[in-house]
Amino acid sequence: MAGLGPYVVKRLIQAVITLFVVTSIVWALFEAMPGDPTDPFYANPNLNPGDIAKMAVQFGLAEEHHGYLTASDFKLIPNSQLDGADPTCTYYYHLIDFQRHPRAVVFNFNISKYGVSIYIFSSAKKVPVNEISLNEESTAKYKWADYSSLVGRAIQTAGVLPKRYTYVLLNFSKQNAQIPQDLNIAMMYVVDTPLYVRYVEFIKDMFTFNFGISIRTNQPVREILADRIPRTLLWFGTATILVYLIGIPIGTYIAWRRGGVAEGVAIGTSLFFYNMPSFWLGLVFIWIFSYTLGWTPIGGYASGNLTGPGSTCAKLGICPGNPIYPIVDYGWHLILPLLVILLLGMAGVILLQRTSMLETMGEDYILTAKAKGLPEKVVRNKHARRNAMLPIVTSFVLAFSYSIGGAVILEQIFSYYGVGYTYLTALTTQDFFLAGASLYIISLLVIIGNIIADILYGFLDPRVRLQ
Amino acid sequence: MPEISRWEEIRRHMVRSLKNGWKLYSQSKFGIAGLALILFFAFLAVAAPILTPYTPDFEAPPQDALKAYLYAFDVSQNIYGMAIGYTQLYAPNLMTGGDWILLNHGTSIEGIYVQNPALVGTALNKSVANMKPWETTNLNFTLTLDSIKGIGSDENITHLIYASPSTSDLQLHYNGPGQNPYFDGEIIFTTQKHLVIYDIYNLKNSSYNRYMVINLNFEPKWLVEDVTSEAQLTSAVLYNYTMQVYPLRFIMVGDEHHLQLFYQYYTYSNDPHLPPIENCVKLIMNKTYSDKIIYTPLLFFNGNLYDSSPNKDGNIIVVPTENNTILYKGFDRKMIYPVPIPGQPPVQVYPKLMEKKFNFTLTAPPGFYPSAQDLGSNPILLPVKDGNIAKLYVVRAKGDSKGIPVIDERLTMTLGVGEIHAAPQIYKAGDNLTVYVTKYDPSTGHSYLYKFRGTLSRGFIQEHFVDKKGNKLENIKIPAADVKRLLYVEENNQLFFLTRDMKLLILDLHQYLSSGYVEIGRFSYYTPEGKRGVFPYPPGSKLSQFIFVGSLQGSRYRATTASFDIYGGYYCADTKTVGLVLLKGESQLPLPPGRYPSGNFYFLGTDDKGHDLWTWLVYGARVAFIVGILAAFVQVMIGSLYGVISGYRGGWVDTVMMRFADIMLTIPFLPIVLILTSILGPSIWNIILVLGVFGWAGISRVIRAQTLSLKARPFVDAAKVAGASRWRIMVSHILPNVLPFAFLYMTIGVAGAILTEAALSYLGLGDPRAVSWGQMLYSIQTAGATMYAWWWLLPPGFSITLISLGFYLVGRAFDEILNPRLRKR
Repeated sequence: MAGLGPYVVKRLIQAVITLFVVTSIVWALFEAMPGDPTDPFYANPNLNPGDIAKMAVQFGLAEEHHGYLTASDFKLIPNSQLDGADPTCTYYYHLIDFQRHPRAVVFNFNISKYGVSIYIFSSAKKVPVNEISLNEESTAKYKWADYSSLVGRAIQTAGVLPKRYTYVLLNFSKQNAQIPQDLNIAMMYVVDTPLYVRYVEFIKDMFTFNFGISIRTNQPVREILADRIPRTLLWFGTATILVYLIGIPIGTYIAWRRGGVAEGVAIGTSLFFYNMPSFWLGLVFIWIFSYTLGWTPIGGYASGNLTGPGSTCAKLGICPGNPIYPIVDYGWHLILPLLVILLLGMAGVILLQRTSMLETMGEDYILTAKAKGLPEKVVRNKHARRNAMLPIVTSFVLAFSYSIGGAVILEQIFSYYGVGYTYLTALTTQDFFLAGASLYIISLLVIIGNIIADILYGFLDPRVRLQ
Repeated sequence: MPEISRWEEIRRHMVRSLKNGWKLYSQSKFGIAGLALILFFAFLAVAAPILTPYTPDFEAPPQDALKAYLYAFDVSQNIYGMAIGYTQLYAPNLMTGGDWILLNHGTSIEGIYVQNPALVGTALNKSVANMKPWETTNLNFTLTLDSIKGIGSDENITHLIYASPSTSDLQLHYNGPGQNPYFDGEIIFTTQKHLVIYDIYNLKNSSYNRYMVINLNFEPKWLVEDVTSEAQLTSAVLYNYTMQVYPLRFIMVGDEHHLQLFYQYYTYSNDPHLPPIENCVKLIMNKTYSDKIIYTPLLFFNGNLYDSSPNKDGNIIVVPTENNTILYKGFDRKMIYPVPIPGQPPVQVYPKLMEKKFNFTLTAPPGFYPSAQDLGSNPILLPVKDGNIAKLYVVRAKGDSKGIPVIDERLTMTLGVGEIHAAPQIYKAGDNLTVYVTKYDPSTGHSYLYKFRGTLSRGFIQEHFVDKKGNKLENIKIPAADVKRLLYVEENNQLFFLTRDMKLLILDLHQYLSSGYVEIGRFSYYTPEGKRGVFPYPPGSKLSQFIFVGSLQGSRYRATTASFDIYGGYYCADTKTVGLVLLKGESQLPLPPGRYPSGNFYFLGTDDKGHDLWTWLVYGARVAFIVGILAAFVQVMIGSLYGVISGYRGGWVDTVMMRFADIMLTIPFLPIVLILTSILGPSIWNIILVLGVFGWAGISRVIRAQTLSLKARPFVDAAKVAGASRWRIMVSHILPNVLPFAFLYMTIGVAGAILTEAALSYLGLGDPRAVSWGQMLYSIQTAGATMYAWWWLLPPGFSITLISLGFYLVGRAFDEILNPRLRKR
């Protein structure tokens, strides 16, 4: 088997690059998705923007910064330059440029100690200090929450997110007031992590399987996926195996009996199902077999401990406690989903096997074997079919790896809580971490399947690896 | 050799290759079948407007969409008249309310108590569910004329009305000991010689014996009571002892030249404080006219407005005579006894009438605004004819400085040529009054519905009927009908038209506004057994009388305005059938295939909005073709160029490009497309773009392989030697030669794109405005009809299957042509 080693290494390197690119695409798509993972929390009246900003920090979307504003940061602004200024007061200002729009800003200081009030102005564009107005409510302190804290008083973002340029204006209620030299305003602000940092973090997390926590269910994403992947495998893995087990003999037979009625029927029927919308076939089957006839469950992957109406126990009379219950339970729930996949996927296998057989049958050695007078069965099964198996084997490996992705919609139709359904619900409920990780896992398994298929192909057909 | 032009050469080449191609193609049976499928759907897409009876916007009219249940029963005696007895509103249990149906059998009156069948079995005992409205209680009675002293044996009951009790029709409950909510109120009827006021409590307790027979010196031709007692008002009238306002009602009876007005003091039936009935009823007006009275006069009385101030409106009589219209306002003076006098009512009323004669004739009974609470806004509408122009005068009951009613010229509504034959309907929405009125145009034989809107201060302007798309109709034609009664059901936004030949037509304004389709059709019904037909029931009978009944909960109106179970009542004298019918009906959408009462035939039924599914199915082919072909075209364009460049350039360019194509192949297609469409927003163009941009990788590999083999062919070398540039070779030498393969993959790509569009639409990511098969399947899911509406579930799925099968089969046939090894040897 000379040459297989370098071939495998080459394929592995390619696979890593592929994984990297795919992960990058996944990241880019989720960055481009409208909305932010913290969006759902804004509907919660018990959370203020500061808390949500801290969540964003926890999710790795943003960074928390701390700083202090002291007397030397503030400059005097003459009353004449300030629109709406009270002539009996003195104003000092300080301009902060956060570089990006912050998610939240908190100023914390002891107001009673200095006898001062504070105004905050925030805008997306940089405006000169003499253009800000105290009369303007939209940017003034009223839009900010004002509450007592441990240090003294705090002013923090409320409702509207603060903008990049923020003026802090101190208002001393006497003329010609000097700024206290011991002034100390603690400042905390949260700004989004730069894009490249988020990218690096995402790639790192994905490659180390550090998927974080589902925003909706608060469960670790890894646990959720570990729970869902076997279910999807059970359905789609079993289905894939069955499709090949049934499809290969049919394909072989119709290739051998070229032009017969069986060929027309098999190809016509299987292509008809092949071109069906999968979800629709699922719906029709549920309508016929589950609702109308009542033979199969309406959905779900198992009844488990439930024994209510429609459960396995109520319908089939085999209840929890019975040693064969788990098999019956899962099996009964799988009948319809399996049937759907069988019908949908059969055409692919039949046609592939048929084509492959036809090509093999055109080879001279088949003619030779026939000419030798070997029985037809031997020629078909030993000479033709074995050689025709090559593309089938690789396609099986690929199909198996694709099966993890499942049929996103079919899982929804059958309320079968596998990877695809998890992905779909995560996407619609803005549970971005769960959705991202699901997509990553689906892609990863496809890539692994591809490597295995490539290696297998290289192993079975030495011509491939010599290219 | 003759010179042939370049185009001629191309043409000949094309013809030749088509001929050859077809010869090869026609060998494939599957290919022929696929082509037939595609052509079939292409025919649907192109000929959609011809093939469909409706447009995709069409919505099934309410006659079809709503099941108006009709409950009917037969009686043994002849029916000469029918009245509704409204009983109670603020009863302890609102849900158990009900009304009396009173039938005039000539020498007897039959009373049947009915309840809203929609509420039967919910608040009431569950065991009576599915009962008929009249079966829920055993309350019924027969009042025979023999039992009333003073009536001759030769007399018959000619007119019958019911005076609602103080508890009825949004009047606040005037209650006390001994009261029975079912037996409260008076039956008032006339015979050839008498007017009888008969307390209904007599029927509960035979020893109660409270009724009054009044001799009339003419044979009555009409009988009317004030609109409050008639339960016509839509707002509550307050009565209580402390307000110095007393429950009074007015009864008016007359013939063509006489008019007699009585007042009656009442509290509630079986009130121990009630004086003898003889002291409670008093004749307060007795008029004789030389002109003939042409319609039953309007007796507009509103108890809450009972006040001696002439500046308030409310108490109006309109007497329409042949040449004049006479208005009376008044009976305003009352005297309240300082101490109660035993056996006498606490209040005496003296008429103080102001008469106003207008020298025009009414063409229909007057209309009035049926709400009472606000003073000064009770306009009375007088339909008249000015020359040959139909007009609607508005009488301000509040009147001029002396309180005499005037016609407010500023408020006059003009309807153009014709005559108003039905009393106009007026109701209030926000600050505005809306008037619906029909006119009959004898020259065309049609009636026309008009709508006016305005306030009493600003005046009325004609309003067009505007649907949601902004289409305007100045008026709505009611074809071949002379509307003699108009009924606007505010709760349902429906208009009913009763024609001169006693046909009941319906116009659902709510449906008109949403769909833009004007559908005036015969009102049709379903029996609870599921039989349907054109009103009235039984089929073939002739409608004798149609009454607006209301909510069947004791009052004509429900305490809350939003209500859909509003009933009408009717009887047919020829078959002796009495019935109740739900005016709005229950939604039956989605409708299964079949012919429906409006005469429409829905070949594939309708969806939950009433759209005709056959129409949608045919128009859906258009979107399928657009999405499928364009998306596949984008895929093939990208894939071919990519493959040609990659294959022709070779070397590291090829390696990098093919690695990238491999990566694109690895990306799970649907999950990525899901995200992308949700980023880009739902639109078929975005779907086409996304499918195109993510589906080219497989094609590019095949095209590359072809390019590699073409690159080694002599003609490429020849082009190179001739000095053609790299791009020129790729575009004009290689690309045309890979086009057959591109076309092959395009046909297969179309199938995939159609399936993916359906899947995306099903997940709600499709274009919500598109008339597509995927959208049909999405809406069946949102409507929750998946598990029964097979006529809705199956056709779009089969269409998707067949069209993509068609493209797939054509693709396979091409494949066999291009890869001869696959062909049969």
